[in-house]
Amino acid sequence: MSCFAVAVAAAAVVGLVISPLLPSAFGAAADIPVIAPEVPVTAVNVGFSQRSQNSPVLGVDPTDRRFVVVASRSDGPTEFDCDLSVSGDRGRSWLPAHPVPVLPEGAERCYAPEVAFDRDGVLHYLFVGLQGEGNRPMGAFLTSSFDRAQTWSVPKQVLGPGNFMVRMALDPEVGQAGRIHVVWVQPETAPALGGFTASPNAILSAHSDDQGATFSVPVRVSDPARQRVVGPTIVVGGDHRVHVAYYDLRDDARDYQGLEGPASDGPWSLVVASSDDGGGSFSRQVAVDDAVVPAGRVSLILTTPGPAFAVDGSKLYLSWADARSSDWDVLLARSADAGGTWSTSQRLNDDDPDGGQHQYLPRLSVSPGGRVDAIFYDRRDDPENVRNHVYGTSSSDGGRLFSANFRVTSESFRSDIGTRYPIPSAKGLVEFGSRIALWSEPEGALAAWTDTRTVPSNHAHQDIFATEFVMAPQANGLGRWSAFGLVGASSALLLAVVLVKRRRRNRGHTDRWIR
Amino acid sequence: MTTKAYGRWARLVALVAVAACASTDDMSAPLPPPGPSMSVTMREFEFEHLPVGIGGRTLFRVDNAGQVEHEFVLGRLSDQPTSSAGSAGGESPKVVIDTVALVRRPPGGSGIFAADLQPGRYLLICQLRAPDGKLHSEKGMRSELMVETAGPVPFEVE
Repeated sequence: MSCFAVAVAAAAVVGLVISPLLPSAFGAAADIPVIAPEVPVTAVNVGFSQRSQNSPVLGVDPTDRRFVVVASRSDGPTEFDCDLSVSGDRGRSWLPAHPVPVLPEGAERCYAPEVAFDRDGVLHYLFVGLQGEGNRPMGAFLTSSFDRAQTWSVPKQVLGPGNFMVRMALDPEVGQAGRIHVVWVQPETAPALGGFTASPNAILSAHSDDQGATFSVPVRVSDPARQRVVGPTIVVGGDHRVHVAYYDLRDDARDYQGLEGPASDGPWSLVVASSDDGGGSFSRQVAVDDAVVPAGRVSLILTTPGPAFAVDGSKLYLSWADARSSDWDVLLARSADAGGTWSTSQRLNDDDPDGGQHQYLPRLSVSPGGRVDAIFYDRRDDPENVRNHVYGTSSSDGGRLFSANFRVTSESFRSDIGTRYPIPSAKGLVEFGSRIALWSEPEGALAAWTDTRTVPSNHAHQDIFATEFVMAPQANGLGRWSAFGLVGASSALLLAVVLVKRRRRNRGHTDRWIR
Repeated sequence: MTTKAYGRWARLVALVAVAACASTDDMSAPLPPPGPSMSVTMREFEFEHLPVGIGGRTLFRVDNAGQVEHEFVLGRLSDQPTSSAGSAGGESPKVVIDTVALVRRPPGGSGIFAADLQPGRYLLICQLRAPDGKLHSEKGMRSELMVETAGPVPFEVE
């Protein structure tokens, strides 16, 4: 075997050994996506009607991905409304749409909208109608647009009065143009101001295969043995299984009933109920984590955020804010068998565990290729633990390893600006919304969140901001192979040069440049 | 192939092409148009921006190119003239009927926000106070923006 061949083989082995040991800075840099400048989705108005826009929900038209929509709440101190913003240039600019020009009879306000596209590009907008001084939910309604938000159908009532935390998900492959799933909390007795009564709750679900014209008879989702259940979040897998995650507050009557007092030590339980028959029945109940410690006092249990939930076939991912360590962290659990078993919870934020800065309100999404993305509010850059950034992280191996956290926002914003409910449980607290939004695609993701950078702190105003981030190619798993190739080739070249020069010297050749 | 045959084939191809294009156009609703945008530069003591804007949800990009902190209050002006004997230069006093936005930036800072503009007149004004005690607006930091058109239907602002 020639010396040159031996040198190349040796260099290849060296490269193979060295590449996994490359400095983390190299790997982390390779995983940082390119983030577009964020833009406001909603409009500022600090005039006489100070509104806080929060709780964004993203939707992307499957027939033309340039058409993107964001549904959001519009909160006043005692008044509520629901908004829809649309973009024809993939989120670079936004316009207001008007899905509910006339409220249904009996509804005085619109609240907590949801959006979903079916496979034909029909946009469905679900909202709750509120009534009276106490803003009681008098029903949930569905309106649809067949022409990219230019015109809308007359809202159709899909749920009766007294239902809370209504959420929607759509299975695009079943039914006329997709199966619409709706899930909600139905209390046994009408809640008092600021919280549920001592009576138990149930989480129910129904679905429609005809674009909302008719819905199935509701079925129970939550375990009857669990009585203080809140915060349902619904996902539908590519296998058409339906999964609903929810919290069981167990002994925490203080948050459940909206009583005064400090934050609860929990523990709550995080539970997943699964349906193997497309939502016809929810026979499987699995406790994902029985040691959840709520992140601070619940401001208003009737609107409390549910966990973040994402699905990729039989792989499920759950994330939530948890205070079991010294400050609030974002935890994640995953299942590889459609919710049958779950991993132990892992921490997603990679700041100093004893730093004392909070991370909370996560959102998960999975790209068509299986990449798991997460974003969350993060205060690691503020020693005072007040100003938020939005941070993100990503996994290309099914959630086992996540990339170094990257900052999504270019400017931080105060977390203490927003509506303050005049109820005992919300004393000293600010409503920052029930969720943020994330939509993952092969090349990257769209994100939307509640932001307060646009006005001074003496105005209770929130806006929705959005951006898009594009993953670097290395973040798709090619980083280490690229590094291996680089190191291997460089080593091979160096060794080859050294050996050739030594061989020439041994044979008595004179380098022509020295002659 | 004869000229007549060529003509027949050409007509057939044209018909197929027209049919295909027509069916595609009928199934696709138009995308919303891009929203309007406006750049505003603040410096001592003036606002630099286009005098006329397009209505609708307008994206404002604000830069402070000055040496001190500036803010601008974006307010909608009354369309109704008012009379006052004390008006300087015979101008009608302007009445701000609604404050739309309030942005404050340090030197070198920039910001972005969206405002829903309807047709009418808008005032940009900086009410911060200089070391000499005068308001920046008294030193010249006030200007008007005219919005002449409404936003794109049906995505107009309410």
